[in-house]
Amino acid sequence: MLLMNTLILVFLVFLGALLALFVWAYNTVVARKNQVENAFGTVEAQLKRRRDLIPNLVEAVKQYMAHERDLLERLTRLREWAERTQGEEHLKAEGELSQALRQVWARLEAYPELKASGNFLQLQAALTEVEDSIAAARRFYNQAVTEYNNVLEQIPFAPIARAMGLARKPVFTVPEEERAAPDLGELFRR
Amino acid sequence: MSPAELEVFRKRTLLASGVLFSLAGVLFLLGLGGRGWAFFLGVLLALFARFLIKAFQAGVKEALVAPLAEALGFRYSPERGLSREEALASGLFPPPDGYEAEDLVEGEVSGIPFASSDIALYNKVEVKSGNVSTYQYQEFFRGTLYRFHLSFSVEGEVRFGPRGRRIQVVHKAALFIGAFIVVIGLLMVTVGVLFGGVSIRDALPFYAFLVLFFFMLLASTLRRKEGFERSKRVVLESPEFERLYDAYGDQIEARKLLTPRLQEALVRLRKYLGRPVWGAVRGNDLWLLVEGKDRFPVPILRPVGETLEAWKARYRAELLEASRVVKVLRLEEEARRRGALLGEGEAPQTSKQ
Repeated sequence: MLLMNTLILVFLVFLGALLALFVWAYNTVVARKNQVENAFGTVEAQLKRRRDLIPNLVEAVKQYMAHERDLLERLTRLREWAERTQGEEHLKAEGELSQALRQVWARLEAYPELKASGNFLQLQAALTEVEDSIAAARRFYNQAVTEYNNVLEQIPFAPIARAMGLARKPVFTVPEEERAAPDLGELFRR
Repeated sequence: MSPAELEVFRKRTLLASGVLFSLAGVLFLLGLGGRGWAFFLGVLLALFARFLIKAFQAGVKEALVAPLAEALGFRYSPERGLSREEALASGLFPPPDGYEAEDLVEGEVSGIPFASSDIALYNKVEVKSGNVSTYQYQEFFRGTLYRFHLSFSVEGEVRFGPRGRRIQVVHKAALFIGAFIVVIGLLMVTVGVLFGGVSIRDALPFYAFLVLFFFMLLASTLRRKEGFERSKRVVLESPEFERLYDAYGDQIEARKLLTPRLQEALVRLRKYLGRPVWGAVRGNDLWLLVEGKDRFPVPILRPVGETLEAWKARYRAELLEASRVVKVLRLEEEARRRGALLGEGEAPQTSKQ
């Protein structure tokens, strides 16, 4: 009788521990998955803020940058493309939009009269702030994805993640052409 | 008093206190042999020797800290300190029941205005002795608070502190006590089942209750942790920073401030100081709170000239390290203003994995 009771108790304790482990692992996987979605939503929100500023930017600079009409039109087209697409195509559109914006910033140096426009300066500050927020949101997303990917490969989470059909997610990376550090000395001499 | 006069003072104090401590030692030995008066006299002599050393240390501080501060281009006010309101504005600690501040040093380092003072924080605790209860102030923190005034305003707010210090204080005890109750309960029921003739069927509700209790406790602790710290905790990229600090704030705003460059500067500061550091960046101010007893120690065995040199080197280096953090903040802000950080806001191109 004593042996029987002991065996039953051991079995119950084992079962309880197994159940607790499962609940904890399942909740962890779900929390990591949701955190990635939340972080991606944050990136999207910042990108949307940037897209919303582009028409104003184009409007503010077009009379000064008459020679850059092609570039400004491309910017508008890319913005519309980013607005109406989703998934991988949307990300591609945002990438090209970023490059076009950088080209606009680079060409602005040739138009010193723009610096006297209060409207433009305000927009420039707003866009700079948004770019900064995008960078921070991407770092948040990358951190969330790293934690999520780790969970996907660790025991005891891996079998649960597989059963839920979860797969690794990619992180944001810096494009090759931007890997060189900006020359701050040159920048401050301007 | 000049350093030469202080050195004479030190030698005299060292000799007098050495003689007094030796005599006190002999008297203690006599006291151990049963002579109570000798023990009492020994205590008095030891206290007097200690008083002489303290008086010497205070004299050296009074004579040297002000010239030291002036030599470094700062202003020193031994009696004054950062006010309670100023210190609370840092947001680095909850309002204490008692607050003391002294050794105010003000000036500029690398063109950045700063003020610092030694502070001590106290909690009022009730002490019961029989039916009589009295209140005492217990010190729970002592250190140096720095306030650097930034020439630019920083959006958002971020705080950081030594890794794991705040969470541990709040939650570990409750979880431990709860777990202890559960283990004791489990043991009692199991002993009842194995040796007391209680059937498994009768014991099952107890087991279920104990397991449920434990999960409820765990969930409540985690939820409190979630609300209190975890939802605001910002996990950053630098493993070194993560090993030394916990950062709190809005996930985006905190990352905008705590760039990899700033994380590096804070790691460097912590390593240089070798002591726990708390910090806050808000508006035009950077606050740093460094735990530690005394910024200006006066070892009686070291010549006064060497003490002064050690102070100068340490204090200058400490301020320079702290100002490095401000410089990085300023550099990042300037770069941001001029669009140099635009490259970090690149489009979401993803790596294929």
